[in-house]
Amino acid sequence: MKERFKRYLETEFRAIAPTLAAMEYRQQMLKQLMDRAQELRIKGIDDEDLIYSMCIEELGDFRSTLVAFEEKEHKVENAKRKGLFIGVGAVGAVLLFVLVYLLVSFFTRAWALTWLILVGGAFAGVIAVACLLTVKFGKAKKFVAMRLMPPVVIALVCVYLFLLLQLVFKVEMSWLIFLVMVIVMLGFDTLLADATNFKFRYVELGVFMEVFCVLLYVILGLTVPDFWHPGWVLCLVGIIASVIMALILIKKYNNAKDNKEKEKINKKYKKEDESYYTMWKD
Amino acid sequence: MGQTLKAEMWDKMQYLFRNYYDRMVHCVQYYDGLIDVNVLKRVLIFTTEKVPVLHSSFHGNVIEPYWSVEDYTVNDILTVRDSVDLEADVNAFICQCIPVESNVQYKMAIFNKDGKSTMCMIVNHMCMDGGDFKYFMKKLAENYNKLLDGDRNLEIKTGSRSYDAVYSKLTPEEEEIARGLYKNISQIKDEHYFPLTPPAPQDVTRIVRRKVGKELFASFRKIGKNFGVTVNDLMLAFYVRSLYEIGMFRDDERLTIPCMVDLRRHIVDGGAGTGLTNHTGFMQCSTEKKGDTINDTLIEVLRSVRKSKDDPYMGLYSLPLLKLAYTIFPFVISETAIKIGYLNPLIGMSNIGVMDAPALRMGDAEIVDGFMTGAVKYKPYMQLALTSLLGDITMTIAIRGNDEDEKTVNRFFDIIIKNMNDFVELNRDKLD
Repeated sequence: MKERFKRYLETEFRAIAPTLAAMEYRQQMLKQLMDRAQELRIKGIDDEDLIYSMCIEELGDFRSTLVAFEEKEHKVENAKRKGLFIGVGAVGAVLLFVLVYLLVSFFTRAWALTWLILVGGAFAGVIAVACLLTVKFGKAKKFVAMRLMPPVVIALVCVYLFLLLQLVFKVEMSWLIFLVMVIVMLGFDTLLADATNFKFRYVELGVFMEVFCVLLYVILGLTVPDFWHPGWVLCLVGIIASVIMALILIKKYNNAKDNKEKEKINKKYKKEDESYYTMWKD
Repeated sequence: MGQTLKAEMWDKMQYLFRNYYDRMVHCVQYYDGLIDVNVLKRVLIFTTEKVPVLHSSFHGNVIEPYWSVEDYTVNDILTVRDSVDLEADVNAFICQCIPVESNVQYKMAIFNKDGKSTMCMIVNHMCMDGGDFKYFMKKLAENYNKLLDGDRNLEIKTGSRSYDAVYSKLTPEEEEIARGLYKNISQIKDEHYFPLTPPAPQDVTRIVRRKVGKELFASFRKIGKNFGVTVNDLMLAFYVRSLYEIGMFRDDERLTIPCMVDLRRHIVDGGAGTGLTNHTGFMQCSTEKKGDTINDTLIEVLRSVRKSKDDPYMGLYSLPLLKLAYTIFPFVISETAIKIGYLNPLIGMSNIGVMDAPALRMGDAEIVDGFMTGAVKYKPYMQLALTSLLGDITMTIAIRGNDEDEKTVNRFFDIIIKNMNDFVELNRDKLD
């Protein structure tokens, strides 16, 4: 029985390349077949030919299995090693931030501000994780999850900038950064929508242009004297820009359609072929 | 302070097992003639001198436990007596327990009756396991015969007792993998109990045993050979099926039984160069269901044990975890941590294997019967131990229990024998 299985497997495995992996797989299959034959014998079948055919039949479309085996992609399994590296790196980074915090605090005695170092470290950690996830989701083509990550990064950067401007540099109206934050978030997401061919990317672009103009109007209104009127016209600019974008898109769409139609007409009325004299549909 | 010896990892683990069993390994050998006690004494002294752990007391120091080598006389080890009720004497002897503080860690008795000797021995499991116990008994007989023949070149192995000898036969790549097997395999939970009564102060040690019978053993072994399965696979199948029947588990319940494996398979020359010690791991045998017939149970068993048999690291799991715990923590903390993480199996099986009759001959006295068994388990734990000698198998279950428990164990043996007979009947055509 063993020799019969061997002969069968040797023939079948000629369908794929003779690699070490294929050889090991062949050995494994032989064992599987022998184990199954043993089970059938214990179950009470004593006809060796029947056992052989049952075992082979149970393999199903073995040629396809072999092809799938050959086509399977094999990667280095380094997830644990990478995880260890990242884990140790994270612990090292935390310790480094604490060390810098303590050194700066002892040296400057500015305990009321140096806590920003620790907050910065924590934010940097979250930002690093968010960036890694962005890349990971992007590679896995999970674009919705991917697009959730940049707003986290932008929000944390803006909060930290606000803390620095407010507490360290004492900048007035530093809270305006949160208005800028919304623009950046939406703008970046619009870029990602375009890069990932999001179905409603042009709708999002229109929304972005309007939101951008409105928030710019608010920022300028708050910072530039007497801008509120006639600065409100800026809000209309957004709408006009959206309309212009719509016109451009419609024009592009129309051109594409026209070209397709032209191609059809040329094919039908200009292109000559001798076979058209004798060609019948029946 | 006298000479001390390092307590190896398995010494500490077996010490921890005092919570689950009495830490004794037992052997009884019946001879058809008398054993020369004076010659035997010389062999025992030679062996004990060569293996210091056998005449040492164990100290469970909170930081690092150790063995302290002690003085002894051969009379501390050997008892010789004429016997009137041989079985009572044998049982009384093997049911005792040697405290770790004792100056000797093994005891032997020779009971003489009707011109025949019976040799009994118990040894602290911390010193050696069943595998080395078999070696010990063979060497004892070999050295005894040498002295009778005037040969003074007695031998007993005296190498390292360290646990990491189990990596000696592996390639460097395999060893690296094996030393990274931190998985705690004891955590595979199986909550099936053997139906013993609850523990009570009046419970006593009982080593209940049953012989299978030469004819029955030969029959099922022949059928097994025809199917290409080992005696161990068959015994597991009989055991598992009988557990379903006596334990009244549902037929479709998953049952997991750990089966002891000798890790010397991973040691160069099968451990001939190591010292007397423990090298025992276990493989899990999980059956998804009882199966309609004993043959179906056998298929279930085979499906499970094949996974273990195909694993080049069988039995080596968890060793690095234990080593790590004993290395980084003081003993008192590591023992507590391991006790928390370790789930002692409620039901187990240990196939000690073949007792080599010719090798156990003592001069003109031939061995006619005998068995070995593991430690006496405390309820609710139980283990079936198997030894084969002269074409027969002895099944042993050693427990602390009452008469009711002994009856249950005997009923269990009846069920196992019934399943063996069922197997032979079902496959009688394979005997022709």
